Amino acid sequence: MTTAVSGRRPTGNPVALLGRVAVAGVREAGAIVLFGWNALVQFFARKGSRGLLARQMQFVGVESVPIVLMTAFFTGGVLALQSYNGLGSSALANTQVGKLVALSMLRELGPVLGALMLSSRVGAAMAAELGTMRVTEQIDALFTLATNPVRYLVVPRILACVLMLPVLVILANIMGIWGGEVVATKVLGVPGHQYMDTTFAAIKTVDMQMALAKAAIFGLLVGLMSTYHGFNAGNGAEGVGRATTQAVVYAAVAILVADYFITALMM
Amino acid sequence: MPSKIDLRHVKKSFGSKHVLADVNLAVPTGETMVIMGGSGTGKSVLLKCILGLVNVDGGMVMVDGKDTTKLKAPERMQLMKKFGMLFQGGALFDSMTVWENVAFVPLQAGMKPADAKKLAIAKLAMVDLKADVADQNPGELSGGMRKRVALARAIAHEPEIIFYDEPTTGLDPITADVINDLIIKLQKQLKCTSVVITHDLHSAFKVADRMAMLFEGRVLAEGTPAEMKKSSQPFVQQFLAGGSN
Repeated sequence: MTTAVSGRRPTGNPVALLGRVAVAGVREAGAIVLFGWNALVQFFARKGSRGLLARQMQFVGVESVPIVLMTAFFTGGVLALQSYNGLGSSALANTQVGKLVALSMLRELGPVLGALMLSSRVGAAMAAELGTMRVTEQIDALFTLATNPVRYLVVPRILACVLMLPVLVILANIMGIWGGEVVATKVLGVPGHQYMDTTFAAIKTVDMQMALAKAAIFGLLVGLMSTYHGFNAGNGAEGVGRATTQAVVYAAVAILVADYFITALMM
Repeated sequence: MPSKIDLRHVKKSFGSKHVLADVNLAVPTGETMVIMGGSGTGKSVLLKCILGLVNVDGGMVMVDGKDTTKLKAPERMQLMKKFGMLFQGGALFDSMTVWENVAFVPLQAGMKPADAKKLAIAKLAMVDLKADVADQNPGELSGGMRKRVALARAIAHEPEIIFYDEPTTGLDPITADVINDLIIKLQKQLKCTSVVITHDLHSAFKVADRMAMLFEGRVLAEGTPAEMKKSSQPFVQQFLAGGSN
């Protein structure tokens, strides 16, 4: 009787609960893929929105530079500290710290931390902006003004993330290596030339390719998750808050899962 | 007179809630149709169904004699050029100035900003707003001014059909009457077809050429204001009298 009144099924059965969670997850994943497909179709259909793209590239890329660089610098420094202490003898440490910092930054920490910072700063803002536009009917207004909202709002944002995150990651990697160098040479006493020699000797083309490939894919994930959740926000201020949280959480999870599969494919 | 909009057996449900059960309504070309009904009777959903913002579950939405329910995205965007819509809250783009809002469609079509601004100021004049409003942000405007700017935006591309979603809700009686007068003035100037959703009876009787009463997902009664006043439907009489039982 209670079920009929509330319209909900009982949640006591763990198997049923698991099933519902799985179905909801698949439905959500399907909706995100369809949303991305729609954005892709609109990307190829788009015309004359360079101004919109430039504005988003400024917001996503240029304005994210300080936070990404600061994060990368201290990450490089911490890596140098941890690896120096972990390696034990200073002779071994002197020859390995630069290599460890460089490879860790290029292969993992540059792209992953850069993407997570982008998701926190840009993804949350995008989701909140689009969510507010949704609940104040601005997205509907775009539609009634004969403007496709996906083309006008979503495509430039996703594209800006895909184009700008690789640039940010390149800067982050340089900054991380420099942060490691500063800590290694000024704090730990590693000879400067030795640090740089081991760094450059360690870096291979495939590492740079991996960093850029990850950055572009993570950029796509940040842009897609942010715009999807913002675009589909509902129920006033609460809905916007939920959309913002979901955008950041979904993007972070997607980045970490994708990171594993890209690494496994490219190693 | 031929129908500009013709709704035939339109149905829309959200889950188990049948918002529009079977709506049949013809809006004659060049006239103002006021759709009345209590809160939650599906008036806004009906507008969104006509605009394609919400997909109908069944029935046909004919505009100029053609069914629009199966249109693909590019065709829908072409059709939208015929429409102008005044949203209840204005739905002005808060990242743009007033003139950029009003001239949104011309700017998207590639008009030079200087020309677009002149056009926007001319449209603002049509809704009795001065040029000095043009450079303000929507957030700086009062409720009545926001509605007027939104109205200027809705008419900027000279649509054939204008929709008004609760145009006087949230406004004081004097400002509300200014909006009513604007609806009548624009109707005469632009010679367009208008659909007004409202439960403000004063506004409804002032602007309407024809009226329809939506009740339990159907059009309960439809006719001229004089015919509606004489309607034999108890709910219509109750609604017009403003009683609760």
